[in-house]
Amino acid sequence: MLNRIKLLLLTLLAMARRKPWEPALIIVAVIIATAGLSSVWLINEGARQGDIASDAPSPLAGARIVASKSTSPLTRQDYVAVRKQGFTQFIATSEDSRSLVCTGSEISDEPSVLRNITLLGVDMLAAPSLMPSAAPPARQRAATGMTTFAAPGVVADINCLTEIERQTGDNLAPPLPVNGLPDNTVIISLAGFYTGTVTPQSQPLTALIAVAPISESDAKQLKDNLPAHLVFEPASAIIAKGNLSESFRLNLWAMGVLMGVVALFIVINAMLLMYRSRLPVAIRLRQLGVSARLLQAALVGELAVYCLISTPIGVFTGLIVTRQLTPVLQQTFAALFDSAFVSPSPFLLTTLAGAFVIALGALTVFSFITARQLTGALSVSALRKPGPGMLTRIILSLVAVSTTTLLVWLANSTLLALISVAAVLLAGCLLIILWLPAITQQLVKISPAHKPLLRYIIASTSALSGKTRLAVCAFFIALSANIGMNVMTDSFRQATADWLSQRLSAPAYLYTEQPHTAFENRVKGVKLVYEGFSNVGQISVEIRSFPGDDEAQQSLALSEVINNDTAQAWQLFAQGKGVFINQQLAFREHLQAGQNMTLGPVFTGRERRGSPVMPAAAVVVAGIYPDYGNPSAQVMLPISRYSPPGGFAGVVALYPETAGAISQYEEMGTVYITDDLIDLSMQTFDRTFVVTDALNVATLLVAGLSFAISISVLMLDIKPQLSVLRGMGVYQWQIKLALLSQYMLFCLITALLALPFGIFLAWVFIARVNRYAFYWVYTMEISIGVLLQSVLLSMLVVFVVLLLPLGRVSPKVDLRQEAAL
Amino acid sequence: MKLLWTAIILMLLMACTEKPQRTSLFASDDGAARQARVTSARPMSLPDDHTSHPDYQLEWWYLTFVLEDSQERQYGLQFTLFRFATEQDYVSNWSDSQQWMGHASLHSPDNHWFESRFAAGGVGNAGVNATPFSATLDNWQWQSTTERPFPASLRFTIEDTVRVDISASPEGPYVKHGDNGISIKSAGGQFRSYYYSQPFLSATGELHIDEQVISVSGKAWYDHEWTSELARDDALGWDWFSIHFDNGDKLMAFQMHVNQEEPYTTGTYIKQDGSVTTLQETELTIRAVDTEMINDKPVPVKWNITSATNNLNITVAPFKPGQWNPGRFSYYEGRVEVRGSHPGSGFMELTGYQ
Repeated sequence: MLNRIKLLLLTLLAMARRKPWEPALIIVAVIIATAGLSSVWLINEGARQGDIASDAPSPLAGARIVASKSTSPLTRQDYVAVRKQGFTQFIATSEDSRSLVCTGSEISDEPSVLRNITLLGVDMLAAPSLMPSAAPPARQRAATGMTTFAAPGVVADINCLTEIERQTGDNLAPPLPVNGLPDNTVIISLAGFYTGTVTPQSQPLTALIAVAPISESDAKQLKDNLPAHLVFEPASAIIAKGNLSESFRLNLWAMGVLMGVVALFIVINAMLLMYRSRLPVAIRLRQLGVSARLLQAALVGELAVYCLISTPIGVFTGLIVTRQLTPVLQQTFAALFDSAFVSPSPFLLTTLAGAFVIALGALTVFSFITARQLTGALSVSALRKPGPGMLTRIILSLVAVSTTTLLVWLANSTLLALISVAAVLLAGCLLIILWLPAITQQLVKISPAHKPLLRYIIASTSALSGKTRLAVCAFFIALSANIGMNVMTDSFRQATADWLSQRLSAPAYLYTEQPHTAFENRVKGVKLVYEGFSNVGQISVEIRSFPGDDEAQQSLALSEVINNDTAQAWQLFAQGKGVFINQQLAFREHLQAGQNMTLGPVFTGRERRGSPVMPAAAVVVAGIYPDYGNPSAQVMLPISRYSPPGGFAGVVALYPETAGAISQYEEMGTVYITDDLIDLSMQTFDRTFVVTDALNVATLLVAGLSFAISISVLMLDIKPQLSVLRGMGVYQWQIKLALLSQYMLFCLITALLALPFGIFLAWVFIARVNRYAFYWVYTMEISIGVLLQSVLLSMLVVFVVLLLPLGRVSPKVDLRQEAAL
Repeated sequence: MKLLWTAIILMLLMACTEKPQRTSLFASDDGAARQARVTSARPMSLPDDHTSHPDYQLEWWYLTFVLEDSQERQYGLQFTLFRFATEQDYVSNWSDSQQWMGHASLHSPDNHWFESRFAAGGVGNAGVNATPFSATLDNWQWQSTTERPFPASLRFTIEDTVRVDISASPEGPYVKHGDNGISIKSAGGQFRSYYYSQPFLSATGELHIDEQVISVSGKAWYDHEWTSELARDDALGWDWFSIHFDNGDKLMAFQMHVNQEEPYTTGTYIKQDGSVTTLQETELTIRAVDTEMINDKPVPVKWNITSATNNLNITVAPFKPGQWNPGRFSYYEGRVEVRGSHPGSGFMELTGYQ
């Protein structure tokens, strides 16, 4: 027994010495798989933490004390009195909604006006829980101005690198990101807020906000103690945010699982390649009397050693790469999801354990596949089994396709939508395993016999197809996902551009801080926009005014209208009996055109305090409009019915009779020409998605590398054949070109198979995942350019990674090579 | 391998005997040069100096109580108001450049309640008034009836659970430490402060804990200190003791830790008649004899204090474990029991150990 074990160990050692590249390449494959796995998991963990952090309710959303009348404002003395009575959970705040000016951003050195940003002065010193630990109380002024804070999404939107100028008061430093702060708000210490000409008299306190819960008895006592000019408002009821956050986490989870599957495929493939290389010797050992069990234990043991060595290295590599990328990712996640990318804590043990589980899983699958083979493996020919017959392949293919179609059809939740994505990919893999050898065999049959080198290339490709099916599957998954994402993003881009062109129908728009009364005498050529906030059931909704004239009707595309009658829809809207709602609201509340819904009381402020400007009312859904990218539910009311003074959004659509007439509005604010606005929006879109593209390419690179490594290992097997070719007078460069051609042909076939799956995947992303996770859909656009770009990019990745192993090939006229299987 | 095991064992041994690590508490070299200095040219003057000194960078009014209830259960109570002068290079129309921090802490034998508060100066909810003396932070009120801090009533809450209503009356004179109130705290004299105490305070009052009202009485110690010469990065912290001996005498013992320097020891022995002996570095030894693990770090909580001047040889130990004040500025502050040549009780403050 001991002798046999010694014999085995010596044999394995000798083989590793003789072909050191084989174990080395296997180790590299496992490192790449586990590095990719740990990177994706770490990124997911960071994004998940950021999402959880940003999901917490705002610390400034608590109960508040405000002035009951604007003639008797809240004063500093009121604040001191409240604090001295022991209600120390209340901190003073003051707001300034006048626009700020960024003196230089990443895009431009030109000053840009920051609109719709409220500067909120907060007595941060009185609420230590609000003070970021990084900012000591004494240091309220950075080198570039007063220290400020904002939600990560707001920081990304502002994108200001230099000083921010206030119209009054000292200048501000670009805000630092802090989770949980309110939207569209920059926070500054109250001491910094009241600088320059801003005083508590000129800009009275807005509210005293409770940053800790207040008990009912304390609230009663407070109300009793408050002077007549102050009122206590309890914390506003928390309206459900929808399941956006949960869907986002589900998406992250799905991304991690996808990478796990890719990694599993890569590791199993690497193991099978190693096994294939070891098999001739294994058969000889079997012939010498070594038992199949002992042999398999030795092979599994050898692979386990490689896994043990390479898995931690891969995990650490992934960790380091992710760490290096964190600053970039932070910005990306902030822009994409309005949530902070918390620098991922190195939950190393979990990641290591996960990577080892994948390696162990791969080993188990490997053992299962090889166990039966080795038992009867006493000759090479005994192992050559024909693949499944045509009928079996057709039946299996039909089962896979019909199951997947059924799953996609039945998907009516985010989870099921994501499961159907996995089903599409797995069905694709099954089809590849079943049909790739058959397709390549057909290619061999139709290849011309008078061109031996070409025939050799195709025949060799066919031979390879049986050996690298798992690597091809990993490559196929990455490529299909890449095509799907690209088609989806391109469709989204196209839909956004169309939507912007349609909705921004006026030639120009004025953003102003003037009250709406300033436009009373300019009724011709201007359309004011009013906003408000309400709720439908438990869903918080934005209210927007919308005109009903012909021009406006042309600019609002309705995807669904009452009784399929657009004229009736606009008539109901104009009469105030019907409203238009966006897809987000329709999908969330399962509303359809023609249905009744109850619109809650409408307030002009987001906090929905004070008296409503419109009472709750039952209305008919006259139409549903697409509202791409808007995370919020929205309702449009006719401007004839909704134009409250406090709801003026500061936006005016300009329809000047002459181009020169626009200049008369420039003194009232900033005028934007619509074409420029659309350009700017599309630039923002492209900037946002450029990193998504980069992540796609990274996934593709991992799969491509694995593919190339498989080929490198297989190349060692065909060295004798290459030597024969060289001996027949074929030049070395011709051999290399032939090899490259066969691999690229292989890649092309895989890419062509991935194309329909990628397109179908894009449809599933748009019509299922987007629909159930984000509550809006858009039309899928199939662009040949995008498809070509995806395929060519994947081929380029493989081409580049193949250059290295091909460069190493140096076939010599030497027939003393060992026989390969 | 043997070498490896030796190294591991050595590392473990080193971990077991880990010395307390020190970090600077009020570290800030910002603008110290622009603040008023502690100098004999400006001697301490009472009662004028009971009030605030905004030209100096740091200041505190420190009250510690050793109390007992009718069941002879022991309590340690602390109320402190800190003032920081910040380097605010802009003019605010809301507040001045002073910041206030209050700490309130109560130790019963079984529980600890602690609250920390901050406030901006000049707003009106925090500060010290001279006539009559009062110190305020929101609803924390220390109110005297005269220009002196005592007699006074003190009312404050802790964590919405504890309400303290206590009176303190002087039974002896105010005591100036060091050279007529200028207390030198390092060998070179670069660390120094104005420092005086009222160690002869008797206290009586009520502790409202949840629904329970506990009548307490005992002794209190008041410190008032201000300086611009402590807030430096190389000031690593200090060990401070205020002790009421059973014979009526008092002891203030202090040990300053400065980076790259030997600890500097100083103290004041106060006889029950109010006469004062300043203990120079050579006349007082303060030595840690045991530590307690707090937040996974060793903190020296048991001390031996000796002085030949008064044949003093005492051991100071906490009356209970875990007397750590958390918060933005965290430190050890707790009641101690004193045994040895001069038994008694008091308070101990240890800063810079976390």
